[in-house]
Amino acid sequence: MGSSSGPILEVRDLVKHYGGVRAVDGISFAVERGTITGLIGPNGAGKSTALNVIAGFLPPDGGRVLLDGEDVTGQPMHRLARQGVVRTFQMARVFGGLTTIENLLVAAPAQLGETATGLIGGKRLWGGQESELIERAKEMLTAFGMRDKADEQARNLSGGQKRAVETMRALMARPKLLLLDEPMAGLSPSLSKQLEDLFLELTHDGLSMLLVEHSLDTVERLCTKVVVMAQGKVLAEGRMSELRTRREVQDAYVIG
Amino acid sequence: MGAWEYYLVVLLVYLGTDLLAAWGLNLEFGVTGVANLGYIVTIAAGAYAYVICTLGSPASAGGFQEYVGGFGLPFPVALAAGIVAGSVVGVLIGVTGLKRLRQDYQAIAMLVVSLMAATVVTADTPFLNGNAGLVILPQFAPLSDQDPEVQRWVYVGIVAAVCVLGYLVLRRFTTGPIGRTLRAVRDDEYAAAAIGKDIVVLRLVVQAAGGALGGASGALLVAFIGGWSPGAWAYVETLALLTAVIVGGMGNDRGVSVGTFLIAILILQGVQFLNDVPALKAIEGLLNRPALTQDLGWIVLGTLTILFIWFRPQGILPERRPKYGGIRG
Repeated sequence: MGSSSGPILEVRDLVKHYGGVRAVDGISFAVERGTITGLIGPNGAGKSTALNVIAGFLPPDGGRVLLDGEDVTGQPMHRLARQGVVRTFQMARVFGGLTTIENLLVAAPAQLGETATGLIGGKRLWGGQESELIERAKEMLTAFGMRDKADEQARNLSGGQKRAVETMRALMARPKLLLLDEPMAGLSPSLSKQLEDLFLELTHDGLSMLLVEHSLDTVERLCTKVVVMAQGKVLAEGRMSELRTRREVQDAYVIG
Repeated sequence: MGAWEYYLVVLLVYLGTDLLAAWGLNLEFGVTGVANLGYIVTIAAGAYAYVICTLGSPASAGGFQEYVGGFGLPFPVALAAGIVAGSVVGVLIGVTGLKRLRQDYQAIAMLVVSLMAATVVTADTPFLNGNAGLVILPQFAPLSDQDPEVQRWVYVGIVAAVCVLGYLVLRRFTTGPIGRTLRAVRDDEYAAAAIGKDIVVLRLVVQAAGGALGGASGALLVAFIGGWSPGAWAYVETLALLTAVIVGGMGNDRGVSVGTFLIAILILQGVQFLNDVPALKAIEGLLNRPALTQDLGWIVLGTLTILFIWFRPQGILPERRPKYGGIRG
């Protein structure tokens, strides 16, 4: 394991281009342990691309990504996920043929029923773990006010509900670093508020997050640090309250 | 044994071998989302492996057919070899379509593998006797000292036993946490990777298991019919299985079993009896199309596939997921 004192995530000179366009143009920043770092910027600034590269969804064209001080640059998504880096997508992706609760259950790490011994041994081997997971999933559904949707096929859920399922699924994977791409989009105001409280609570338990979010009020409430991106570069970094007053940020990002 | 009793035996063996194959394809396509249009090659691999394991050396058999191997092995060993061969070939087909290929491209890549395999086997006569195919005599080698009538029914029993075993293995993959994970891979492979699922490993494991079922199907079929040639495993045979999966209900093991009975037995066998309908005979003569009733089976299959995809894509028995109780408390 790397140092437990340094930042959980460090991005150094990360580059990603599509053809001639440098979508991410040498960005560097860090996410401190047990905090939420915001990643904001106007449309097309490269926020989602940066998140995609950090998560291992896209291979980088340059730079490095360090997790716990360890180089994880270019590692595939599933391997990063097993090291505790779990992401959500800009457009919510659920497993449509599975039920809501199954969408949560499937994300639990180290399931005995997925191993060769579990396959041979059958339910005797994984049944106990499975009932614990079901209890945990039910608790989370209750916390998100979706307990009554447990057995609903996920493809029949509304857009906001799908997004909530994606967030719950990411939490079921027991991450140490969550990469969230606009988790509040399409949620009801009351659920957004609940989710904000939950995120803050989780950081107290040591979870770190990188949050791409459009609502600057949300960002201000949640994030200890905010990274502003524009045209693929990091424009500024600091607390939201001080960023609001900075001229170059205002120019690039018309702050409401 | 009367003609009808013999026909019943034939139907039961066909049903059993078709069930094994359809289950394998359903595991790959219906459950995991790998559109394996080359699935028939795993069946062919099982059949050929069985044949070259049962036969003695080419010279000892009189040299009337050419082939590699010729090991003179007993039935259970040859059957096991067929299962292993199907599994290995299943993995090989899987590798062609694994890397970041969209499902439609994957399907085409696998279809191409199917065509290539048929071309190679047809062209390379010393390998597996080319287009003429291989013949094994006597059939049911393990029971050759018994009355043929008894042998046939014993063989139906063997096929049934393998089916029961195959179904148990299948259920291990399609139910429980692994079944859930495979369906997640099918529904959205990127989201599955984002929660730590290794898509490549999962798909290859499924290809191995599905291929093993295909191999068992091919070995059991060839042991019964006593011969195997490229004509028996044209790529369209995969489409018949695919129809069974789609019509029966993708991802539902029982549904696919119903679909197999409907397609492989009721329709593909049923059309044979249309030959006895005088009106159809007259039309055949009029159009100078002696194989019309045969082709009718394929036309019905294609139409059914389209109708189901349009009007009932979930099939006769839709996929069902376990319930955990949605009501609070």
